[in-house]
Amino acid sequence: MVRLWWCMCLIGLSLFSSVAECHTRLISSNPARDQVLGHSPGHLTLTFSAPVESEFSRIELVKEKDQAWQVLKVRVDGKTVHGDLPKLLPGTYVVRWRVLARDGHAQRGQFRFELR
Amino acid sequence: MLPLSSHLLDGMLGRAFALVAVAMLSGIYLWRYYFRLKMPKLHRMIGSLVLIGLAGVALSLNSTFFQLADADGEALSLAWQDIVPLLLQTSYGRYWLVFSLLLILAIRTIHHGRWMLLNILGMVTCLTMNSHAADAGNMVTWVLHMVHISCVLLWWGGLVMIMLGRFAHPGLVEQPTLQAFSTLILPVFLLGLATGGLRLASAFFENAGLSLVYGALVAVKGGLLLAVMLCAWRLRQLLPQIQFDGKRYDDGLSLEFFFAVLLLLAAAMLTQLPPL
Repeated sequence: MVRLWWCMCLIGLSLFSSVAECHTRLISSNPARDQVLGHSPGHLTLTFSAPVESEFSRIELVKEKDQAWQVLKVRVDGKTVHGDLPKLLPGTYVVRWRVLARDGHAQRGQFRFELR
Repeated sequence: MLPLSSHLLDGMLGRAFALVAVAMLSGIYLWRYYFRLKMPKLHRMIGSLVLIGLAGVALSLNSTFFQLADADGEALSLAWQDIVPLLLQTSYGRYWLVFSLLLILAIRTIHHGRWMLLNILGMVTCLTMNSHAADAGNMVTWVLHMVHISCVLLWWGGLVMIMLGRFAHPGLVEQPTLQAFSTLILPVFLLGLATGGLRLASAFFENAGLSLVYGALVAVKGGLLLAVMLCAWRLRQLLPQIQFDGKRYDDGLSLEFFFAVLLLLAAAMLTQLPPL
């Protein structure tokens, strides 16, 4: 009975081992989602749960109701992706990003922030 | 974060193909250098394994490429020539490239036991370093992952070779070899289970909860694992009998292999799904 119990525990543990195989995800950003800023930030920072590939990392920015997305110059430093921002005028901005994790999975997302 | 559900199947199949190629090479290693058994049509087998593995690499790169294209939306364009930087300028691509070279090299190393073992370990390292384990960025996780998939692949490959021996070449694999395989593979299988458990323990604190689809697939994987273990337990009971019933053993072996294939597919699918 005891042996059977240990076997079942071992099976249960190994079943969930794939939980360890978590996809890279965005942990935080600066400016943060829905943050209201008083001045134009010089750059934008995205922090992920794991290091990402520098190749194929992209950040774009658009002022809400404008049409043209602006591609930011990015620099990858391990888990952090930095994007250089131009001087921004007051308004609401949408940021969209794409990264490639080291396991080959592409991740994307978007968020807004406001400048007053 | 927007979900990326497309190209799940090619990503899953790509990883499964690559795992099958390495598993069967491990099985051939066991067969040739541990059990010292002759292997009919060896070169044809190796050739087909190399093709399966390379197909896996192509499918995996294809999956990543189209995930990137999907992620691009309208404004961020991705051209076909971007497959070159994907292969050469990302660690993910470079590990697949090294994996492919080692796979092709297997055609030569098959005749030299130590080189073949190193070759297999090299491929396992590549499969570790372009998997989710690479994200963890620490040596303990990498080693745990390597030990885990090495054990699982050795079990899977050994099982396939036993199947081939029993069904394609009657008389080649008899009771003493089956007994020796069973004795060797039990601790290997248990080590695979234990390292899987340790990987969970290290990661469970980082992830709270599972998505419904992911949880359901984990449950399916659990059921399949249990089925494999019950089959193996039954086969072990049959082995020591003086009047060995080969027919019953082969039926049980087929059933275990069926569950093992489904288990591999479920595990490969889990590597493609986000748990949350």
